[in-house]
Amino acid sequence: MSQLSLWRKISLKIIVLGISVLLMGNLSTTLADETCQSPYLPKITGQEDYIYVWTLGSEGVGDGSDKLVTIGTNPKKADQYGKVISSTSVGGRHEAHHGGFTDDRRYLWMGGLDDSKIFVFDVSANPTKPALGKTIDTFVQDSGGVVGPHTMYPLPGRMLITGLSNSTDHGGRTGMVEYTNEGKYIQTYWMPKEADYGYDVRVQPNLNRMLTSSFTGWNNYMMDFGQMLADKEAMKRFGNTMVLWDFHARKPIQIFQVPGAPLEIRWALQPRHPYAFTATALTAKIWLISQKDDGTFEAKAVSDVGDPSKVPLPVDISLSADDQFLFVNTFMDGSCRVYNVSDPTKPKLIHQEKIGSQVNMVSQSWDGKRVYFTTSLLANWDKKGEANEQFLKAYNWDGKKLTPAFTVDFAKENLGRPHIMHFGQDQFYKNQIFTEQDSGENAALVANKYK
Amino acid sequence: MKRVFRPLFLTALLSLLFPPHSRAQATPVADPRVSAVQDALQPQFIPPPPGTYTLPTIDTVTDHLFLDTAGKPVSLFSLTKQKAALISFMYTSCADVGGCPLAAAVLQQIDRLLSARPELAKQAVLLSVSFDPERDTPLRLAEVQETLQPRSDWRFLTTATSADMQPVLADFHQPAVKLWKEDGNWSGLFRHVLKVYLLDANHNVRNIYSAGLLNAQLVLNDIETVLQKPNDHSAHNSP
Repeated sequence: MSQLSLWRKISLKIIVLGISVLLMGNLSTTLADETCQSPYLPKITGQEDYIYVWTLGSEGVGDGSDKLVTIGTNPKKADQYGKVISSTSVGGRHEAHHGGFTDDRRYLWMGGLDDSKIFVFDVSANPTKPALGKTIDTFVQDSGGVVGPHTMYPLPGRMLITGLSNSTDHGGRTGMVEYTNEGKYIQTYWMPKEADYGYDVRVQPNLNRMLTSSFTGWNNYMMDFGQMLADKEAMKRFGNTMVLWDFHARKPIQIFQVPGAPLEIRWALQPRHPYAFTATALTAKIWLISQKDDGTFEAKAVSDVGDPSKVPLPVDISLSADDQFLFVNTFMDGSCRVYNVSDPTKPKLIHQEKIGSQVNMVSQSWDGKRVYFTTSLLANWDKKGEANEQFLKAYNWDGKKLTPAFTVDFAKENLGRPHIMHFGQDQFYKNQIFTEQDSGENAALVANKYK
Repeated sequence: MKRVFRPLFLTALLSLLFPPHSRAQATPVADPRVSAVQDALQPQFIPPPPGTYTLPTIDTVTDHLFLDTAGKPVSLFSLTKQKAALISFMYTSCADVGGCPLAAAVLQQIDRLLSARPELAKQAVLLSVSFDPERDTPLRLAEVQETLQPRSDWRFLTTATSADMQPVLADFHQPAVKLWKEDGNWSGLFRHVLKVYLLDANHNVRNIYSAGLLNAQLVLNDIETVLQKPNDHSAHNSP
């Protein structure tokens, strides 16, 4: 028997055995990483070194501009831990809100809900100081009228961006837009007429399904919060639907009635867990969207969040990598509630922590041991006066309770209103040369830079 | 240089069977790469039928010169002329089970599906392109091709030097970075986001697949779709 034939026989046997083990699910590995990211994004392993915080500028606070703030998060780097390392301003206030990595994790696309600008930061060349590169200021024109780039979701070679509004009436009717990673427009698809509001998008490629949720339009999210609450007509203009899409075909296939503005969506992360969670801001409920035996999905409320009659306003949520814990923030009482969702149909409240006077975003590491919170919701919706605390707070989570680790006061640091967070890590980019930089005699110089 | 493809591939598979520190984990959490392999080989859904959806143009590529497994120069466009092309960037020393070995496994599935449909197979070509020309010589790729036993038009390509490969990777926006060790020596490995590109007969990129989307039937349906709809420009459906 030739060596090649022997190699082929051995390989086939090992492949069959390996696949058998895979299918039995007899695997256990942990990675430390964030849990809310697209499945197409390479995961960071180990301790995160930095958090990049997209921060809304505040008049009279520092330079008053929107900015990307870098905070040290590795306790082994004592000179950086819990401290502001750098800040990259973009000039002006654009209602900085959400953003996301490209699928190679080199660039962060960060959006402004007011003027629909998208700022692209390079975080790979120097992870301690992201550099502002291009600005996409043609989003409304390119897309045919979508306003308010919200979720920036990496696909292979592309960015999928949800809108919140439209340029015709600045109401909630909106669409989704795709660009190449290089910033070239690809396509727009508008939300279906029966469910035309948008907010978040999350893809479950293993099921070929995509879920979108619904919020409100520019007229509302740029309005003063108190003024909006008193405006009965404005309060009617909130989303009450979620849409399930055939992801590959980009076609809506099911519409669910989910009253009260369903916001963030999180698909379960473990294999063969065909379900997702969301929380409704106005009706304060956790909803489960799950696949039935016939392959279709259903949506049902599975838990209250606090006392819905008091409108605690659930905002961001985060699901742990093992699908065991769901962290739900409520803006009005500044709290985080942690639910055991090992049975997703019966969330069980196991811990509640008062984070501050107000709280919005929550991000956790992949190993679930570290959890981070920020405060700002929208510039005109954040609380006023002394209640307008603006901070990033880091906690440790041991499966039972949250324990404070450090706080960065964004007001004292003259930074502004912190919003969405993304993790960075030196080792992910260390000792690497990107192909466009690897140009013969320059290769050694670039390699030495990271030694 | 000693061949490393076989032992690295075997090591990767063995690491799945006997993962390090597995007994130390209190709550087992599936490795996303392993989940991607599982779902690529045992998909949980039936893809939409060919032609029932659009695949707008993402990008357009230019012609490039390669070396085939006989060491002969061959241009990209001469291979893809009037065909749908699937281009998988890889290197044979890859040890990431969610990377090049997975792509090879799925391309082999596609190859077998194509071979069962001769009329479709005539209109398609599969290209495995190595971005590691230093080690993946034409002779090395010929050995790999022999192992995989293609039944449709499945070519294995490289270039003479790494410098020759740079413009190809830049054109396709395929990042592939060498992983350096602390002592300054190259580990022999690359970090690259797995990407497989679907081109139509007009050299337009119509889809890009990475781990989580490498489903043989889905890709085959896309091949048929771009053959049915060769001129599918940016979609901009009315609000």
